[in-house]
Amino acid sequence: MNQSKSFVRKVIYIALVGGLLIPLSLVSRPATRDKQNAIQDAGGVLSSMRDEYELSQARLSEIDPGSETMKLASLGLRGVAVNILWMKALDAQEKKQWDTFSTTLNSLVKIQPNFIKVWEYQGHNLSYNTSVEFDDYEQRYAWVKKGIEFLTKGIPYNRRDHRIIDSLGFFSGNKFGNADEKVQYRRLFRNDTPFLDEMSKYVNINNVSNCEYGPDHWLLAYEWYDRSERMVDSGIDDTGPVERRRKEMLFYNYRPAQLRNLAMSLQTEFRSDEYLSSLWDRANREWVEFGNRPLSIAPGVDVTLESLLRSAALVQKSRDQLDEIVPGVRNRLLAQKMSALNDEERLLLGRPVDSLTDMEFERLQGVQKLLYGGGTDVDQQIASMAPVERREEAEAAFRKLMEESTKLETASYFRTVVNYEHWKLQSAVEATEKGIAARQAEYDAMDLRDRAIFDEYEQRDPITGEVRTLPGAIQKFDEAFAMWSDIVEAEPKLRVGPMFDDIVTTINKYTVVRSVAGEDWWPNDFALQDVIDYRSTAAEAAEDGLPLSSDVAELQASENKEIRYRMPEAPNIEFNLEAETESEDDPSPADNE
Amino acid sequence: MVVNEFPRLMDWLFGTDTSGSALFVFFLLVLAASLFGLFFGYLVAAFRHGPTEAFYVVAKVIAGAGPDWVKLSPRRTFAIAKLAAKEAIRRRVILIVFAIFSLALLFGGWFISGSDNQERVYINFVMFGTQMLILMMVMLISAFSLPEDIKKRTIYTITTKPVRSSEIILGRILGFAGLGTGLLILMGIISLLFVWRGLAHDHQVAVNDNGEHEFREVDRSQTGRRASENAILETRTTLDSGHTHFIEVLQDIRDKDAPKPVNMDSVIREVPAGDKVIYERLEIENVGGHTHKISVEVDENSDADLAELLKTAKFDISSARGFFRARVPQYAEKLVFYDRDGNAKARGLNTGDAWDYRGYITGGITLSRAEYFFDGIYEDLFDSTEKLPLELTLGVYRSKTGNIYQRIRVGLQFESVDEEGEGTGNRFVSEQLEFESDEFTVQVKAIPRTLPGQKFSASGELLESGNFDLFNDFAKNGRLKLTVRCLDEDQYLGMAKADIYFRATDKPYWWNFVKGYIGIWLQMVIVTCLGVAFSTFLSSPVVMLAVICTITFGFFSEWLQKLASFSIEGGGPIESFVRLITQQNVSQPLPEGIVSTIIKSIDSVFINMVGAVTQIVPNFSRLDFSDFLTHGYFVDNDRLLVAVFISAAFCLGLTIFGYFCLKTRELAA
Repeated sequence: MNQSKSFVRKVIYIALVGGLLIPLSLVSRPATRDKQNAIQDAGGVLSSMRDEYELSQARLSEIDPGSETMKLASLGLRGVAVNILWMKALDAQEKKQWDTFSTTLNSLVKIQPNFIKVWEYQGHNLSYNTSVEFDDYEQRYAWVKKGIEFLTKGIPYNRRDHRIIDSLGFFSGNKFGNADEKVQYRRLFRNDTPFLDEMSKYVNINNVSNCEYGPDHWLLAYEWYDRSERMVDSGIDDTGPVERRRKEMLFYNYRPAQLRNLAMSLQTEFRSDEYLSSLWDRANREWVEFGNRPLSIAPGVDVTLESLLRSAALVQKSRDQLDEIVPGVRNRLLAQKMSALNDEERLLLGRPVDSLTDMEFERLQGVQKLLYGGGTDVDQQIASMAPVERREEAEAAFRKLMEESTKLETASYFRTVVNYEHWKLQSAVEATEKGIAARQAEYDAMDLRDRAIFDEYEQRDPITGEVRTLPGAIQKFDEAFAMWSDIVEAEPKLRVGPMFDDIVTTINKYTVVRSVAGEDWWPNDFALQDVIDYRSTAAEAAEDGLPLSSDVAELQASENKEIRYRMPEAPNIEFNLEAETESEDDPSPADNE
Repeated sequence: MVVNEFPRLMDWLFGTDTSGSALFVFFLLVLAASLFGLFFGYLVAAFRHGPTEAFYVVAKVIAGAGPDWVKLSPRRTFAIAKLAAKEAIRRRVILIVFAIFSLALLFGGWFISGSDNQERVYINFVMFGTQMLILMMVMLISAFSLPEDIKKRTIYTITTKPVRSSEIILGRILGFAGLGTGLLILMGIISLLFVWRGLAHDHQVAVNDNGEHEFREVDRSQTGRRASENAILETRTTLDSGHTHFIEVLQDIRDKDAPKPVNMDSVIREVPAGDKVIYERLEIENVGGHTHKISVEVDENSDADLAELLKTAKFDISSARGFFRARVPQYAEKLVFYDRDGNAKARGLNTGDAWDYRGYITGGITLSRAEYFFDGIYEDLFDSTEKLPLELTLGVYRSKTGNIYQRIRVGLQFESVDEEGEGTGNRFVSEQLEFESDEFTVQVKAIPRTLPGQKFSASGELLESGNFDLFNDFAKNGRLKLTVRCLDEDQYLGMAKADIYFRATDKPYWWNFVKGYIGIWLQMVIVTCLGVAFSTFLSSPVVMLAVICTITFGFFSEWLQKLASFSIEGGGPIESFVRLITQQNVSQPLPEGIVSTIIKSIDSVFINMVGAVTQIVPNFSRLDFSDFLTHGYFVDNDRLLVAVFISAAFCLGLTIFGYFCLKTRELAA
């Protein structure tokens, strides 16, 4: 009796197991193809999803034995295994056992190689958090590379996702080029043949080495971003829809941005020349190309950063059309609101749109919103007041106005986010002869400063005996500032923004040199005085801590050496020459990145 | 390497002023276990035979136990051991384990290649693999043996024979352990061969597109690379085994009559310069604890410059050297930290690390320092007494970026230490040795036997300045004080007791490897005893579960103790579950209220249970010496003997426990 019960139970178990296998086989059924390799049957849901996201290695040559063995060895408990390894990695990191940490990460990603966030997170952990644990910058450099190499291992498992490639671009550019040790990192990179060989498996390394001053990590970053763009544009990566709008715009800004980063790094390390001019020129061309790239803001609606003025003109045209259909109403509606505006805002309304910086343009948008309510409320009111016979025409004009207004607003916002206009202008002026000459003078001035030649000096020619007076750092700085003055006079929009912020840093160094050389720290007739004055009143007022024209007279008249030597409320001025030349000291704990 | 304990067998057994006696604890535990056993035995017997009869039953069992063990026949025990081993072999578990082990070694290279420190990764891989497989094997064979016999009633064929229960238990333990030992020896030998083969590699000198060896000038301002002080040219080797080495051309300037460089094959040319000779020689950088020997052949008649000469030179690079070390560290007896005002502290500063293994000292002009007190520094400990290898692994914390090019500087000063209470001898204080630290690396500093310094009288009067002998003056009684200072303002140096030591003469690697495997063997014997003891009263699957739980507790006992002390965020099982389903962060406290109180109360019961269990299960990390092998340190005898004693105590307890359980079962049958 007992035996028969047990037998029945076993039969039921087997039947249940068999029953469960049916739905499993249905969802896992692979696709079938005919002789022409065309799909006859798409297969089960699981199998088609695996294919869609390339989660399975279809061909034998694509199978990574290491990963597959690890998956099998975890006996289906992948989640548990990953958690244990994650804890082990955290523990090793806490105890600074870096070998264990690194090898644990390698095992971890083999178990769940399609989990992008793990690659991104742990790659960042290696390149950013672990590298700064080391005191020696060479070791730090080695760990930044480890993070990059770690990420490259994720590429074969995630061929349809561009996010790892983006991270590779970010690490290669940002970590090597913006860290405290960027000077050292960049030198090490130029000579790191094994690493370049390794990278040649993924990017066109000739493009990375194709720089007059040796291989450059900004070009490596450029190549990664280029690869990512190609993936998205060719449709290999179909995660596109989630990357729309702002993200999409940022995504396409990364590649061209690397070129200007390269140019900016090189011009601090080497004396500017034709090569840098051509580099800036290329940076400008690619930046404008980015500005002309259609960016989708809604299904079927694209906008380009360069279309700002065109959209503004079209908005104005539609407004004029409405005003022509319903004359006089706008002025009446706006009269009251205009009285609430201040002088600066009224001034902004009166200025031609193309003379405004991106920031000023965005402010103008705000003023217009104030005037027109939700952007187009007034226009809608006017359109609704159109005579019956021209109602249709007015509505068409209003629709056009609405469409262009949205584009205008988006383009304006996008341009501000990436500081489009500034970088376009800067890359254009840096490529000019004047721009190059200004950078050369600045480089010479810094070189003379480092050699402690602050003021003019005489040099006798050993052959001819002729005595020549050569400029010192102060004269070279003055020469550079005079040229910058000409440049910003021609391009007034450059008076604010990153380029002039850098010039302010140079001015601070200049004041230190002057005071060390025994001169008044601030000159009477400073070439960029007007710009400094302007910056203090501009819409995006900068706090440079430099004296304004009104302060200068007082400063010069002062009998008190201390006042002449040290400007009150000048937070950015550093008088310690030694600290200046040695390194850019950071008062906060060095490891906080 | 992280070393938290420095056991001395006698101190551990009999206790010191600061720590209790392990022997005493053992006797207490034996007493407690005996009383508990008696009480529990009586309870079981009372349940079966009534309260009065139970006395007789318990007394009979106890009375029988003495003769059972005293009259134990080694011949019969050995016969049962042989039988158990035969039976285990028949189960083919050994074959499967060995097959998995072989497969792991065959394909192991997929997982473990590419690290800078290959030796560590390889040793770790084989030791971890061996440990897991061998424990799994003995667990399986011991768990299935007795329950199967009892289930199939084949046990009666033995018990009806004149065989004692003690012989059955001991015989099985010996049989399984013997089998495991054989397999462990085999796995150890194969592992050693695997590691030796895996680490063997060589390189070539890299060539450019024209097939020439391109040596470039050493210039950090161009290359960014830190080179040796007297290096003039550098290049790389080819990439092999996942790494390359830098090759430097050094200008080794020596007096004419001074000894020549040891490896004359690496000398490119000798350039006479007055009463000196410049040996332009090659040296290969150390990577992950190993280097290679290089020899060079150049056209001696050529007057081309060095870089040109090397372009077409013939190089020969030997296979890797420096692996398979068994370093013998002479640790300090005591480490004392001093704060910036010169006050002695038991611990150094914490610079914000969650892990407070290392204490930090402040740099610059402060009184902050760390003092290491060594004992037993005698000449006979060292290979060469001309230069003493001092090894340091220092932590660094920068509170500001400072000079990026320079690593944080360290100052070392040696001082003699009087015999305690004596205070009458002369005092020797060396001048400060200064060098740059190298974080996360074992730095080797060759301390010259003769050190410049001062000699002071007992009253502090300066008697003499000059050179003094490390052994005869500074450490004439074997005692020596080493003061460590951080020389950079506002920067910090971190260290623990095991971070600075004198490296005595290395021991043979094979012997250290054997010691590492003895650690695994001890674990294996405990697991065998656990399996056999549990199998006397549990069914096979339950035995397996119990053994797995014990092993897990044993391996994670430190973590579980932390859990039991409520110092791990996230709470107990219920709280963790609630956090998991509600997706709450572990650092955020649960909202106050009745529910939270109930959850915490239930959890505290679980956690306290875990705490209690961790006290009685063996701490396997104390028997695990793989860290010593992976880092190349010799397992000291005291540490090994402590592990042997711990294992012996557990095995003894488990054997007796198993014996009584079997005895009770026999009686019940």
